[in-house]
Amino acid sequence: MNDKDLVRQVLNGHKASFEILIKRYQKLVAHMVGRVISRQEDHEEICQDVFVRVFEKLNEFKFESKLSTWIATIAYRLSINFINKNQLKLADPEMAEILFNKNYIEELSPGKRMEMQDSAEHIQEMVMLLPVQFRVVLTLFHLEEMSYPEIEEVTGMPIGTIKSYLFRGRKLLKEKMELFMKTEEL
Amino acid sequence: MTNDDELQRLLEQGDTSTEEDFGVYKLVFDGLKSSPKKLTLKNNFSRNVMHRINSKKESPYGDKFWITIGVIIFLISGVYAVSLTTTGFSVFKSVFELKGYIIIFVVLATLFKVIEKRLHLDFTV
Repeated sequence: MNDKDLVRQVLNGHKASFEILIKRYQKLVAHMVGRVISRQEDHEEICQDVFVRVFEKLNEFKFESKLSTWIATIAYRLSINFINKNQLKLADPEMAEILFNKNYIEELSPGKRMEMQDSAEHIQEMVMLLPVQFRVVLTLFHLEEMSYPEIEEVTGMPIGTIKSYLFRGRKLLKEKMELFMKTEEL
Repeated sequence: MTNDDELQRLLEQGDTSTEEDFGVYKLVFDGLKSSPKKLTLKNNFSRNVMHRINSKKESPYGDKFWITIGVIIFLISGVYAVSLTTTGFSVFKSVFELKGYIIIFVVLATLFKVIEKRLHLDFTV
């Protein structure tokens, strides 16, 4: 069943269709929320809030964009609201390089790095050490395979900024991976 | 354009056919595509969301509304009971005397609940 039919059925009162919609997009929401909110205990609750909001606002969705983009937008906004409400600070993207190096030393000890089974796991761990804005664009672009205009719609960031965060984020990850591989060889 | 720019641009386009040394960048791109194990939800996630939606629909008035109503009723009953006991009337005696009012109250409360349920849109599965 395509998204249009699914939304129509939900709006007609077919509750089981909304459960299908949740299952279809729960990974997207989990990734989106998880990249903004690091605390595991808040993760599931915010994800639930996202789908409750989707349900409440579904009649306002006019298919001017993809359903996935619209849901991701809600997930991003609710996550950022949560950060602001709880007076948590977003790291300054301009300080990304310094913060990333600091976090890498503090959070990923050499022992922990060695424990990781593969490079993909190592990269995923490192992504969480980047500023939130970097994590979000990297996830939307690579994992959710969204285009630049779609990421712009979700985050409200200009395309130039998105490209800059993607490039800088990947460069930081590459540099650390190179370093890690060199130490592993020794 | 730096070498890093060029390598990232080619990988974004999926063009790995050139002689360029993609090296670690290829690992980074592949790693970013893999689903993070830590960001998974419980198996009953969708059921939990549906439960929240259903309970919200069943109670169009928020919890605060019902708590306020409860507190008001409690205060009124308290004041009423105290006023009866201080003037020498027994609470049980007055309950018996005011049975008509109590019956009307019960009927009205039941009616209110029935109307509220009827007004609430039926949501079929």
